[in-house]
Amino acid sequence: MRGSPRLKNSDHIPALLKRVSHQRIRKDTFCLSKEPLRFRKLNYTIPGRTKTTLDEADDFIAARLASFGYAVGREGCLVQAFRRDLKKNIHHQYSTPHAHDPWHVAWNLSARKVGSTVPEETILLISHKDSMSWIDSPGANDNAIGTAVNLELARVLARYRSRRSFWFLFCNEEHWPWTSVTAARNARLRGEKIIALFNLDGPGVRKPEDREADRMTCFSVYYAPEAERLADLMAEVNRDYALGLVTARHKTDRVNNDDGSFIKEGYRVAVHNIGSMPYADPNYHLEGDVPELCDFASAAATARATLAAAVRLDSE
Amino acid sequence: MASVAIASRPRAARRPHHARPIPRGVPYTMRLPDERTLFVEVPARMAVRDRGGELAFTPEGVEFLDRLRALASEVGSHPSPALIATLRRALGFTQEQLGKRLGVHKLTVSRWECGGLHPSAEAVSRLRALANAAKRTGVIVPECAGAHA
Repeated sequence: MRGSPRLKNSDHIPALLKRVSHQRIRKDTFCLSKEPLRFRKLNYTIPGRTKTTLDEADDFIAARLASFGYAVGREGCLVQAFRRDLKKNIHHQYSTPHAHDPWHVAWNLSARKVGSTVPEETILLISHKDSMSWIDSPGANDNAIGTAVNLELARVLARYRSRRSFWFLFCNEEHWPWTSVTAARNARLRGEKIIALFNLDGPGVRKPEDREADRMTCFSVYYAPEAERLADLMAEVNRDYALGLVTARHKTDRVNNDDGSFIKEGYRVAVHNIGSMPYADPNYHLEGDVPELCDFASAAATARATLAAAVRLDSE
Repeated sequence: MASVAIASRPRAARRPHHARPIPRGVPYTMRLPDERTLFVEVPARMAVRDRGGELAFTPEGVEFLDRLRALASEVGSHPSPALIATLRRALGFTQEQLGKRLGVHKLTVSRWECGGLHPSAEAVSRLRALANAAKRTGVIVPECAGAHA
């Protein structure tokens, strides 16, 4: 980012923001976490079906991306389902699988939009698409809704003539090892120049007091000082386009989540957009994480803020 | 001032290229027939360095990669003899066991794998079903056991 972006350079943003549909986000979240797919994991197949629920979710996401006009790339990685350790805290009962547990192939799905004038610079939008492999949780807030938001951003940006390249990445973080590690590593080996990364994981989850006060919240969590500007940009676009969010930035001392995989490979301008900090979902990693409890208005507002920030970066 | 001889620090002996250590897991990305890619960390014991220091896989490593490729690929309507043999090994079957699963004699499986006979459409369909079942249940990959160390 160079200095403060100017509104006049970004006046196509309001038109793009209007295209973000809260109903589409809702519909896709329900498809991925209730009907037809209640789970998205490699160790569960719906009786009578030939593919695992995660493979079926991949087909759903790939079909949606293809319908927007993207060619979908698939990068496979060997993974295992986490084991469950009942002695641990109820929200964190995943434990490392054993060496001789079965291995599966999990796929990273990628859709790319090549920039018109600075194609070598990439803005990455990432979300994990799988649900918990150690428990039968639909994972609606974690992270069917983030996947739906990423799909919606891919749809809105499909016809946008971007200066820079956009990369929409759908990875897996509830199986072991995380597949974003491979995606990040391969991005570095390709010499990819990622100028900004937005991780959409758990957008829309509000604290009870914020829900009661009808406040829509978005926290931009960052690790590296270089990413502070990105967190500030989220607040800036929220103000400039009156998106109605209460934004906050949060510096973390831990490299974590899928953005962390990229930070470890040197892509330090990365933020994780999440609805609350600390994460306020009482059903986190539990069977009760169902789409009926998702806050789609708040997730849609976060989608708009992410879109505006990404497009503003692209316009600079 | 009297001059003081400073002993030069002994230089560390330079290792020849082929003696450089091999990382614990050698990252390798292979292209699948349908343009998808599969990323694998090949255990260090399955890799060697050539004289120029480049990493190369041992026959055991190549066989390991072939098995994973067979598992990740879709079984088409005309599977090659090599794919049938590799897939069988990846699924952990002997020719006799695969024959029993597919309802044919072990010699028939052997002929498929040698290219002397093409499997019938029905046999291919059963083979595909076996491969898909393995994808659903997962496959034990003993070579990956070191990944947890």
